[in-house]
Amino acid sequence: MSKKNDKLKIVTANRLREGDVVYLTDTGTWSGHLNQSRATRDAEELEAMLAEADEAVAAREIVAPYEMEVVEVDGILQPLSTREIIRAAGPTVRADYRGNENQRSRAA
Amino acid sequence: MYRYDEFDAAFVRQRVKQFRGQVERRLAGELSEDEFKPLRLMNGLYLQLHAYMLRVAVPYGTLSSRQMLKLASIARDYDRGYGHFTTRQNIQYNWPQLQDVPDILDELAEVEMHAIQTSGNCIRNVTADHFAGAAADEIEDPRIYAEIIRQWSSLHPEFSFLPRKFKIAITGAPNDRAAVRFHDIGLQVRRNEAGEVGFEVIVGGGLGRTPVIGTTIRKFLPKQHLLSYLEAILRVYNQLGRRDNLYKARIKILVQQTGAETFKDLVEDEWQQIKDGALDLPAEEIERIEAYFAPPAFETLEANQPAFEARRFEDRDFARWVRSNVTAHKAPGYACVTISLKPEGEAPGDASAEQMEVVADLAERLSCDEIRVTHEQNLVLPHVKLTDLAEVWETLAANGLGTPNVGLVSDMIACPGLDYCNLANARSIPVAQRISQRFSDLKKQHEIGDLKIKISGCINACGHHHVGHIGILGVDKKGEEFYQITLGGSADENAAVGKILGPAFSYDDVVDAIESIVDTYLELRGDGERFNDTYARVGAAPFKEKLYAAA
Amino acid sequence: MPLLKNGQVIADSWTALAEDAAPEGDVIVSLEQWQADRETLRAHNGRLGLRLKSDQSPAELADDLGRFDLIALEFPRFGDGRAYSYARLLRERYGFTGELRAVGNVLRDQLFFMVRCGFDSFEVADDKAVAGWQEAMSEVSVLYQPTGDGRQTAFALRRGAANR
Repeated sequence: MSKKNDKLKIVTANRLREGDVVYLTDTGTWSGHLNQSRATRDAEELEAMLAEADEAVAAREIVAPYEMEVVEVDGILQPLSTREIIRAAGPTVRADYRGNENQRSRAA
Repeated sequence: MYRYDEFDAAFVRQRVKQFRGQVERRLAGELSEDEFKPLRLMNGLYLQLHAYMLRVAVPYGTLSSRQMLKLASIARDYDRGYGHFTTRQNIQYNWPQLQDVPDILDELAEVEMHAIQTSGNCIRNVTADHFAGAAADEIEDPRIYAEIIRQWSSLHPEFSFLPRKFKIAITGAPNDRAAVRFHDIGLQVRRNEAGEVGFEVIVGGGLGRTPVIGTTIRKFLPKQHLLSYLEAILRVYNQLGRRDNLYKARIKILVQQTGAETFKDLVEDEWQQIKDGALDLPAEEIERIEAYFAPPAFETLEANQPAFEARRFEDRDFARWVRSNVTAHKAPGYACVTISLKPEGEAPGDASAEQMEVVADLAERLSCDEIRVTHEQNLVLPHVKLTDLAEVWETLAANGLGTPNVGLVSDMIACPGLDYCNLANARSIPVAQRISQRFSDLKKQHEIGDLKIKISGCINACGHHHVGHIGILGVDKKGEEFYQITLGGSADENAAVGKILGPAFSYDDVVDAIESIVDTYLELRGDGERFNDTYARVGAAPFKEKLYAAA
Repeated sequence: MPLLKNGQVIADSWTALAEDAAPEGDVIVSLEQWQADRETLRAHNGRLGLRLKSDQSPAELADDLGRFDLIALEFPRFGDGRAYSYARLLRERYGFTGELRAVGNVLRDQLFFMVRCGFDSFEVADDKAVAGWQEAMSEVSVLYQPTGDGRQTAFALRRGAANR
């Protein structure tokens, strides 16, 4: 029997080389989109996910991983804190420059 | 302006190469994040909320056009097309990639710039009066000494792992535009009774969670002893500053806990042992550096320029801009222009690459190739002829840089806050944006007059809220953003720390609260009273009454 | 842990004196051991070394420093930089000429700062610091601060150039 944790959690980090915000997915990859993340209420599963993150740190893929709480609304994941909402969506103050790694457009 | 000689150029190149090696070792797994973090911080590289952030030093806030053009091209090539000018006269890029940073630093080195010691527990970039070399009230150009300190502090082997960060500011004028009483060390250029020029030395000032006004520990320090005296202060601090508690590690706490008199004795004892030694600054060395800061060859001009005066009468918008954004210059026929980076509804201190290029071009053509960054997050063209002001204004205005609000209610300092910063509890920038929209009527802003609002997104006080006439501090209450208001602070020669007015306001209500405070001030102010004068006279009660009665 | 001196890994001829053990040969003692038993320690057949924690300033025993052939200064964390000041004081003020050893969290990227402050031996955590020694000593050759290490500063070199 696995222990139930009433809070829904995901694991997030930044990519080591680029710095972009990423989330651990079901397939063990790291995605720039929060809604692709693997979410769990299970404490043991969360621990396994954090262990996966530590491996990704050791493999120099990501840096500074941590768990964070989300809520599920009609099947869509939403961060709980203002901080994580801003982290997922970009600064609230500069619509012209908003975006994550998938929208990054760098000069050639 | 200072120019690198062969030694400075080699030093910065070596430092970039060293950092490139450190990045390579990090990416190869030879350095852990724990080991790498202090190394990247000593080169101004943070990991923030969304991405890495690179803080580039603008030593004592002085830039040439060529340097500004480079900052623009870096914003475009390695970032998202903009940069953020900070209260420490630096520029921050919010989106660089770790793997690109060594290349960015190489590009900076091409124009004699770097990111050395813009972070970490070391001696940070030295800040100075942004009107240095141009101000009418100046005794001596403080940048001469700021440059001497920059060199002495660069990779100082003894002081690279201090208990906490260490900030030095210097001003050459009695009107303090560098907030010297709110730095770990503040230096104020003074003339003694014999007419010699030296420094008043102030220690232990600072903001953060424990705001403290610095204490003078030496009224007059002769110039040649500048570095030995600084080394004595740092040596005492390095040995005795607290290392057991991050929040009590700044020198201000050491000065408080040992007592200012005892601290002064410790410094003086140490100094007696090392003065007149290898750190002594010979007059020739001061002259060598001074030569770099020789004033540009100003033309001999009439102080009164009829064409300029006529334009002021012709155009109300120009007249308004001149009133708020143009300051007296020491040379007749010249003026200092402050370029507001606080247009209505924008992020305070942000400039796009295109705007940086506009400023660089104006500086090259019309300001003796010089630009300054102010600790209030604006830019300055320090040497503009009165007859060129109209052209400068028109060009600035056409590029979103002509807002006539310097020193006024919408000329706010705001830290990056929760929109960018890992430490923040609440957003700062959107609060500033909403306040500037609320006070969008420029006529009203000019009627309100001098008023400094400063906003921090957490207790670390990067937005200097303690020293705002009106200070706003973002706090987190159960996951919600709230804002505490302080009144009566001041960063200038009348240094004061603001007092908390009452319970905090929600994100939605804080702008109404600020407007209520400003309205109360307008109702109560006497002839010629600035905000702090009125506040000192009437106290907090009338402000509270209006503010909390309504709620 | 490798002991590094002049860029070479050398055998350590010193041993730390265990609690309540009799001193034998070249021993390194703590400040407490020295204060408790200085007569025995001075009389023993071997050289004496002293190990100071980062909150123990050598200034407190300036008069005793001549008794020691080695002083080891601790860096409990590499971010605790007190020993840099202690090292300079030992070399430049108290004239200590024996071996000055950096112990604790001693990393490759701090070695050069340590050398400039007067350290001449280093108890490093692993071989990375050994491999990086040469580069660490040469990667930054322009120096702005006069210390007791005898290296020429940019300031001195500029004056030399001006006087040529």
